[in-house]
Amino acid sequence: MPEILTDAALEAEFRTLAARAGVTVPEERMANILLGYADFRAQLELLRGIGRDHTAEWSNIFRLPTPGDAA
Amino acid sequence: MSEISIAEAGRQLRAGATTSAALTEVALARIAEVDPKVNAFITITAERARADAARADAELAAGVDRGPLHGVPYAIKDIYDTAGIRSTCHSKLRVDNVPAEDSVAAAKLAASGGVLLGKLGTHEFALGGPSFDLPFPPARNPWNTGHIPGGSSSGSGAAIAAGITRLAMGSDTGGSIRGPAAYCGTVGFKPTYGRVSRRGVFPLSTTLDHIGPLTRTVEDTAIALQLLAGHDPMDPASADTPVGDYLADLEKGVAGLRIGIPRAFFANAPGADPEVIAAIDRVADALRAAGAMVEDVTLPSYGAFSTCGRVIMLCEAFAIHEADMRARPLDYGRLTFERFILGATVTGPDMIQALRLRRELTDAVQGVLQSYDALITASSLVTAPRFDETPPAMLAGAPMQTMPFNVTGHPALSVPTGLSTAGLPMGLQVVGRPFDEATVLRVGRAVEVLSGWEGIALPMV
Repeated sequence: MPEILTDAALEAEFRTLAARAGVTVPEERMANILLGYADFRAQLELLRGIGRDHTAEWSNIFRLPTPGDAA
Repeated sequence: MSEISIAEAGRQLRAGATTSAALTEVALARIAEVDPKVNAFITITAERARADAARADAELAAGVDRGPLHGVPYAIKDIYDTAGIRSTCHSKLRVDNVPAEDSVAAAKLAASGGVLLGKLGTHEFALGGPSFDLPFPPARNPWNTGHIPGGSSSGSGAAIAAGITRLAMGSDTGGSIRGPAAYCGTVGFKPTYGRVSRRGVFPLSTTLDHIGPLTRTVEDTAIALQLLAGHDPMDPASADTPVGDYLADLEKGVAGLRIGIPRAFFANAPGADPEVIAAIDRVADALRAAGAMVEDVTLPSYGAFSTCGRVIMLCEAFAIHEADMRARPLDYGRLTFERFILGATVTGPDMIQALRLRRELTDAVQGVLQSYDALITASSLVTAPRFDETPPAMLAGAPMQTMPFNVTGHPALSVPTGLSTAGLPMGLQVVGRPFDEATVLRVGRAVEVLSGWEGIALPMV
């Protein structure tokens, strides 16, 4: 199940991550950023929920099939 | 000029019925007339344009013919480097940037004898917009200037729809060519990843970035792609794959072609405009009547593509902007900053899972395309929103339907399907096999004919 955070926990988490990145977030921009972060974090939860382990295909190289590949 | 195709302009130039200087003066006059209303341009290069035109006319008179763009005006999105001409990315951070060299695409267009009219507005760094807190105003939609033109190639879409030029270069990381094309009623082509060199174009997300043309017609796009395509060993993503003949099969129609429609992507999506969906269905029926086999197909969920693409895009974008985000946060526009900062929240494992997912999604699309020559799907679920309808934050539920083919790299063309009852353009995407741009253009040309778009005049701005 996706993790549900309270608004305060979401803000605290975001502030920690922004601080780790070394970026000073203007306070007047925080409300919109948190709106976007809540939405983006829900997508990250979907990604984290796929549940791949060591048996999953390993690939981090972008490769397009080419016309010479098996049809 | 706006109602004369690139091919027809070429015929008239070679027959002596017009000159490049005349075409250029018409375009510059149109800029003077309409650009104050649509803000398509950041920089107008009138002096350069007149010099280009004079050279083009002199060369034709001397028997030197550089090909189909010789003497024809065009414009370029302001994230492309242009030698000696400021290239700002629509940002305070680069407002004084004047590159020493052309990007590869700009160099190819110059070498083809075209006439550079100027540099076009964009969302800041191809992501943040539409915004009113940047050094230049946002472009507006010529069909209704209270509506956005789409982005990020916003000036490119506006310049075509306003009848200023027949060719405007754009870039597409999640739909930034196809979105403005759909909203402005133009053709917009994101070729296969690796088909056109991106060297000298400011990156947004290096493994999702594509560049390509926005034009008035599919034929204009085919001509432009023919000039732009080709291997560039200096762009690590460039593919050493033969370039096809993009004009040869353009008029062959769709009889015998197999076309898939992933209707689940768009037909029942929240917020989908029934008029936009009905227009796609009408085109599908017309393609069937023209002899194509058109069938529903199943792809992975749209949400999987959206998640994968957004995670990769924001992570890669933050990596590019990390130093400036730390040192000069207030120099970014509000929307740009608010979007880029999300990339700082992606963990290493998140990115690896997104890359794994991308491979699987690419294989899934490729699997469907083993049985079909092309796919058609929505470009956007809606027509162009008003400026005051744009959401305050970048949300996953955005109406664009373009990200899947940035994730997979397949070629995707946005073609108009008609006008809504409100008088705003609607469009669809044609998607093809990797490096089979010729079939995509062939299907797109059929859509252009069957939809009746050819008979629709440009808006009165």
